[in-house]
Amino acid sequence: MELLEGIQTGLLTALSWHALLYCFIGVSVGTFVGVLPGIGALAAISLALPLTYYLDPTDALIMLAGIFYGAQYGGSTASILLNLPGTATAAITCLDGYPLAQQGKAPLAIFVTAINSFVGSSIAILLVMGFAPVIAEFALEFGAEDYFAVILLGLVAASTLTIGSPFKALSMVALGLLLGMVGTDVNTGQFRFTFGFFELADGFSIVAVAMGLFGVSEIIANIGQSQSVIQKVGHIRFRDMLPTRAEWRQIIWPTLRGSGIGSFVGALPGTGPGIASLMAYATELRLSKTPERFGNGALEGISAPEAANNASVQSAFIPMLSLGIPGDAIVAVLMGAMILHGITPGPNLINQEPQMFWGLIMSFWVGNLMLLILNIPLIGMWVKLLSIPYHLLYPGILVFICIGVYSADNNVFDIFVVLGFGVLGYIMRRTGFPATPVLLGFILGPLLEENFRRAMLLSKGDATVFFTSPISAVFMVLSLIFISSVFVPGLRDRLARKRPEVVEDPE
Amino acid sequence: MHRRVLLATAAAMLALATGFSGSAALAADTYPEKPVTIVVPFPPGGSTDLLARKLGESIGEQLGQPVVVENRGGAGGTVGANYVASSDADGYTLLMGVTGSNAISAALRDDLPYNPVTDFDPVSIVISSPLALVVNADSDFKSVQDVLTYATENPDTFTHGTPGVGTSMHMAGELFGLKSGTKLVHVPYKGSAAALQDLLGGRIDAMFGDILVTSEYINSGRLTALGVTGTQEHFLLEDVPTIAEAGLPDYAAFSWQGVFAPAGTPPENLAKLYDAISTALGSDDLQSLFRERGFLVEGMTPADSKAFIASEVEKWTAVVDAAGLKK
Amino acid sequence: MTRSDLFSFTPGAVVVATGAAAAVGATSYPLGSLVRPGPGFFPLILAIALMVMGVGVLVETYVKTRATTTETPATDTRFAWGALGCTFVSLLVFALSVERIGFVPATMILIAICGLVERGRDWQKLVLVAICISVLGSVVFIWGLGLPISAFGGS
Repeated sequence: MELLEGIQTGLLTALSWHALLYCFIGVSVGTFVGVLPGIGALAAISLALPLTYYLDPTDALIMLAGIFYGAQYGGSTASILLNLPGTATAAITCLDGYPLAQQGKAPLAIFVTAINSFVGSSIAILLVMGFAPVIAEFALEFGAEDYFAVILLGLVAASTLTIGSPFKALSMVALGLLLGMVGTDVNTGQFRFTFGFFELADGFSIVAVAMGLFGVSEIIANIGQSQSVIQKVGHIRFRDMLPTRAEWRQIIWPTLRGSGIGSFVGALPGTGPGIASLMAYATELRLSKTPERFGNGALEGISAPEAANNASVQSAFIPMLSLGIPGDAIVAVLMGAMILHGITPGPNLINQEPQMFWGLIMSFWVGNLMLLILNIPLIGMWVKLLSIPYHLLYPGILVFICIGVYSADNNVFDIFVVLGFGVLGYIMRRTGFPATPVLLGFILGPLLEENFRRAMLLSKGDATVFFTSPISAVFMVLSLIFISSVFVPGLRDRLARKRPEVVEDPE
Repeated sequence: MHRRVLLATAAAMLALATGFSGSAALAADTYPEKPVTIVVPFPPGGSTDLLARKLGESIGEQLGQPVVVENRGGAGGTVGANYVASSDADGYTLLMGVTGSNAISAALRDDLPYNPVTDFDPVSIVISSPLALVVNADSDFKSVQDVLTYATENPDTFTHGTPGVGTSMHMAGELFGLKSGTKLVHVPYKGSAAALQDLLGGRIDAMFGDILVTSEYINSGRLTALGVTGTQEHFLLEDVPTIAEAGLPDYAAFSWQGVFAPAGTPPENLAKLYDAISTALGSDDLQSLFRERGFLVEGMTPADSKAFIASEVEKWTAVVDAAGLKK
Repeated sequence: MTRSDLFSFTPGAVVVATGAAAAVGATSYPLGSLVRPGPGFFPLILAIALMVMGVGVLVETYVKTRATTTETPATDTRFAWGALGCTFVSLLVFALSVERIGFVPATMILIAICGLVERGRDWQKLVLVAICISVLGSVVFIWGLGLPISAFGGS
């Protein structure tokens, strides 16, 4: 009964004309900044935040949240079309999305991601509505050792999804982990590998690393070959975007599994972005009967991570709305927005501000519907972008990458970082080293170290804590299953079957 | 022609920067002639950002020039502070500095590229806010005295979480250990939310936390406040004693925020800015903000602020040295 | 062994060298112990892992050159020095100039540098692109999102 009352309150709020308007502005801006390379949801929300100082708090929150999940819809577009991921999530979508685009299936790929995003979000919103407080209390049970085990599983997944030379891939995981060490050590405040650059005290900006390794190196590789691969994709009929019945069947389970994984991981504050998509992708790769298609344009390879990503974005609101604990950097900024409107999220938010709580949640439905309606007609337009000759397109992309990474902290230093990683990424692809493991290692490394050291600190140096904590033990076992699935003969043979080295190198 | 005008302007600004008294007097009459920028060394959305924007709005109205807030985040506020320290000392680029960026970092780091005492002319320390020593409501610790007894009997056991090394919360904990002759275990997190999560989950013993944030949990009965770190009780936490009253005499630690100009800014400009800030502090808008967020109004004069910063650097240097934290 | 065979060992060697350099860097921080790891602990382990993997890459390369497989890697490892240089210089110049001369001039310079290396360049269309990007970028980033840079002139 309480739930129905809440839904009613929420709908009244979310369907008022001003809430609809701000929701629409939010999701439109979100889609737009998501598509633009370099400028992510975090930068967009940070920059839009001061504009909301004078809005009604609920409207402000609806709009800012709209930018957040709207950017997830848009984020896959640039990855699929141009191999330009701004986040770790998008980098995973690139794995199969970009090959699809190169086979001329860009409209299909973008359509599928829009549908997956909607399904993933919907499932997670249902969870938020029904079980937010319960899930939040469960998430509180996760200690440092448990997070360590979850992240270790992520790292194992990242290491096993590599294709081609295992040594090259694993060395790139190690490189990524090392790059993640750059910056201030959380435990002691020591600056590590900053080489006297004060700007590195917070480590490399993830957007700059991703944009450099993927976007800039892609551009370098494409300059001078403008008439070949890229051009021919531009001429595509609109009806190509609808999946066939066989393709629907292919994506339905991965989408549901991805949504489940995403909803779970998203609700854990402190796992960081990208892990949900990574785990969803790795799960599909393990479950697939034809894993060799992954990396070459498998639809499951974009469905599962996209559904997981959007589900995790929605369920990231669970700990914030029910406990006042933001799950990631973007939700933290949203919480800042609430605080500056005089509402401090805490355990009492649902009771004290039912109108805001339910209004926001119902606006998720409204917003996701708007996004679906908004994004499908846009597919044609985005694909048309590809018909612009590449030598006219890439200078613009470079400008947007530069200004996008600059916008994160208003610091030119990040443009130099993009430049450095662009050159590194190009050399890597020319020598057959994959870039995705670097990015995944880069994200997971600091989390892994932080939680390991905190677990050891809190357990007074007792390493058995990783196995005596039940949650941690479960994930440790899952990691073992993952590893053994690679080495068990039958599975290994199937995996070892000839798979060309094309993930990073489309030529 | 245009170029020459520009050069002349640049030369004039240079003269201002070096503090020629003649041109400074001239400047005071006309300052500000263009928009003034307040650099917030954090991303938008935090309390420093909000304070800077509200303050800037009022200063801008009084001085007749818009005040622009620019967010330059990074490294606990030190990137933004460094940016302002190396800007022109003309009164057009100001910093919204905090305890971390303008005092603790100097105590903690040898490699800090600026000196908070000599590289800035403070305009005013605007507000201060004490912290609250909070424990999980289910915890056995019911008073500061309980903590002191436990920590004395079990050195290196009592854990307190902080949003990171060198934050005012960290320093409050170190000072607690120093004053009481006990040794607490410092558990640093990335941000206070993560620390709060472990406190709510019962994995750490305590936290020196922001009053506004923790008061939500105190009111909902999930956390208990044992004491406040200020010199008097706080209006958001009635009936909670100060730590000094509750058993640790002379203990006082709080975070503060203030407006800073690069060293060498003409004193007349500082005076104009200070006047505008003191008027702003009396406005209803800011008063209600302070009540809401639990800020205590300071509004120190430039001279008092300068002396205050020196004393803060000295205080935290002593704590950092005693705890062996120097980087 | 031919010269190109030797060249094919470079990537593995670079990986090992990177690991070694990182290991040296890591030892300059307190290492702590397994029970209480210091700031140098994780980096050192990772650096060693990187070196080991680099050796693996070297061994792999050796096995491949010995096996004299049918694949000819030579065509794939050709570097596009022109494209690399152009991108490098254009981004460098943009980064150095955007806060000093403004977004629009910096964009123009970036696009001009890109145009210089492109064969069969079409300056008319490139100018059109430059104008579009300048206008779009100014509207979105400076006017819309309020970045602290000017369209023209220093900030």
